[in-house]
Amino acid sequence: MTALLDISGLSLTMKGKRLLDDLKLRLEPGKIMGLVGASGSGKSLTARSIIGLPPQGAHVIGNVLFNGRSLLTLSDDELCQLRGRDIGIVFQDSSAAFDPLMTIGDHIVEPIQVHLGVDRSAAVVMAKQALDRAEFPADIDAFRRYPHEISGGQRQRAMIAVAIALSPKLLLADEPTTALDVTTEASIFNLFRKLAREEGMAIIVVSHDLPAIAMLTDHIALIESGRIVEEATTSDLMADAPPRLAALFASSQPHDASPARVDGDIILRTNHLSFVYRHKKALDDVSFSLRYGECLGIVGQSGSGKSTLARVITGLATPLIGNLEPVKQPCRIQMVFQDPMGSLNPRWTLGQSIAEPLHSERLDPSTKIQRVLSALQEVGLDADFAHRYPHQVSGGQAQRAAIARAIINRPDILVLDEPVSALDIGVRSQILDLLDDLRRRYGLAMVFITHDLGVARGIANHLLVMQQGRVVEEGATATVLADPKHTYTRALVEASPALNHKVFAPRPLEG
Amino acid sequence: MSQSLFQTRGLWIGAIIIFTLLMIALFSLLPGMPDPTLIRVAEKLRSPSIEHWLGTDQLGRDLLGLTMRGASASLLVAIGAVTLGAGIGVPLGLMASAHENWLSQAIMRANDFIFAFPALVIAILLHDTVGAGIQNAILAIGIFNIPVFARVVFNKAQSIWTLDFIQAARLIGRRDINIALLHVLPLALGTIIVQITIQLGLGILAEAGLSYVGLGVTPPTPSWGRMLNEAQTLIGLAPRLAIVPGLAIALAVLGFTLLGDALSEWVDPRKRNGG
Repeated sequence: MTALLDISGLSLTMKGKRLLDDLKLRLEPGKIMGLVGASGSGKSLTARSIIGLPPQGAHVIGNVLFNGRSLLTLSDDELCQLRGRDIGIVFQDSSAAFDPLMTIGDHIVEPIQVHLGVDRSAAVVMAKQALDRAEFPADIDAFRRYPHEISGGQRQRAMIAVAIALSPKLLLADEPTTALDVTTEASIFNLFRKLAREEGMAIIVVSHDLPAIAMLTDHIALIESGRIVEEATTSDLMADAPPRLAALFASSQPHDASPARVDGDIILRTNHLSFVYRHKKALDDVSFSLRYGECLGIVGQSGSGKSTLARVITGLATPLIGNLEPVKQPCRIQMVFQDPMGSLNPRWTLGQSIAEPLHSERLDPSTKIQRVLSALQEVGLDADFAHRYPHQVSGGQAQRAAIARAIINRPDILVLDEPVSALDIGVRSQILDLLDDLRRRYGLAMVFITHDLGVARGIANHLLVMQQGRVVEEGATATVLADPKHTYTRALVEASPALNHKVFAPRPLEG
Repeated sequence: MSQSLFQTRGLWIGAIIIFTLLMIALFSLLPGMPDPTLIRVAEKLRSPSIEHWLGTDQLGRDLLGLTMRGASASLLVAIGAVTLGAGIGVPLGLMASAHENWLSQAIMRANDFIFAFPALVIAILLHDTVGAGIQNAILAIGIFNIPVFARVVFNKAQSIWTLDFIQAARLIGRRDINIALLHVLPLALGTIIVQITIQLGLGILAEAGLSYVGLGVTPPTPSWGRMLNEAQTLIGLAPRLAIVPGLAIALAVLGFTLLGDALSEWVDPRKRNGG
């Protein structure tokens, strides 16, 4: 079959740096290709170069043949005609991709009118078809709704509708599901598969999440510092993955088996917690107990109340009904947040931030420095990180610093709110290993909040599954995942790529 | 970061204007300088000459000297008013932003109340109670500045209070006052500095306005606003009497505005040029 897209020798230099180096890619109609790599590897840059939108000051050379035409030699006008009509684009952040003052429907009508020159009523008919094809919920009137009035998943579908309205031959999706939870991600992937199969659309999906897109694509290319270092068809991946892809797979899968149930003494008991936020029950009769040395995983989709629970446990919010019953007094509770950059004061050095919990103890400066250095060591950072500012370190390093701040005072309980979901896959497993290590070494009790069952499996001894503020299922992690009782848990397990992947069919769990 | 700040042309023009203005004001107050308030009726309404570079006014006073001395009155009132406004408004805004409660409500509603009165009304009120004078002008404009600073700081601080590192600081038992001073205020400082330059410009304008209607600096202290007022009846005879102080006011306000704009671009990363 002739290729729809044939890229060869594509290189991009910017400010004297070679960011893309001699890329070669081929894509046939009806096929889905995954472009995988860590952040900064050049995967988004590749996608932007294909559509003729490289960053300012970039110099692109090479050959990009699309449907027999060389894209790099086209004028801006010709490219504009191509974009939106023959090439559709889906971005990661659906909230930024829409004009807040235009209805969803108008966003779809606009490109149709621009490209086909039809009148509005004809364009509206086509827009409605596009919404249907993108499986946008039929009961939502897209022409009355504004972007902020629908959910993230619905916005993503709407963006897909914009991209496919004119039945492009190629669809470019840059991290299309990164901001979404697993069940929504699975349904978006189904939609992509349908578009490829039924409309013969060729799709390129850019992502850092290899297990997730391995479920979707026919073909995967791994990019590292601007070069394609490995390529494999997904069927090859199953049988015999090339070394780096196999390693990436392995690193996105921190532990194969869940830690066993811990039988320490109870350190914290919560009794019938309820919390109301904006007239909605964010927590509804939540009771559980936490033991020394235990990691309690709390899983659920966004809006299930898990972050509210974190705020109540830490005392940042007071429950409407119910109470917390710490066995030890005082019970020191610390927290690690999702966004490591946002959890550190940008004007403070990491050392200053890590030392902040020591403010109430009258320590002489040298003792203080010693404590900070040993905290840095415990989280695996060199001493010179104490002098760096958050913007000078990577996300993973910033998260290590945030963990150092949380443990410097030897808390009894550590609450972790999605501590790895903002990090690259490769870094995730390192942070999870670090946390697991801290738990074992100090018998630290942890409450680990996550939407990702794959992450929870590797670190939690015990699981609490939450839906709409209620605990719908509870039990030892291995038991809950192997044999989910509640339909909601089952849906979560089925939608979780890390748990279901054929390559990573979970090994028999211990016990 | 600093590179893009100093590349801004507006910043340089603004800074040069303000620096010149400050130097003129200081220079005019030097002990050896001739007294610009000296009245010599015999030399009234002279055209510009070697002796009087900008000529004299209806009382024979040197126009250049008056304008230079007027700069010191304008700056004194503007700086005094901004100090008063920021000194009270910033702590109030910071306090109100920490928690959503009756106190924050009370502070912000009191601000709305003051906002409803123009500085002119406050000045008339003060004039009738404590009399005219430079303190009167500082107080009237300063009171009007309080809600401006309180609101700006409140809005900026409110978004800072929700950040994760503030939550972390709360969790380790920091008291709100310490969080406000250690975390929130330093991050809001850029915004405050920008507002200070903007309010200084407005303060110059307000002082001129108050003096023009006779509520500001009292005679014989020279003031741009009163010079404009006095030049009014002579506008056909000697237009330079109005043009010179008018230009001085316009330039001073322009200087502070340019400075404020350039600084705000530097403070707000969304307005800053990338790369």
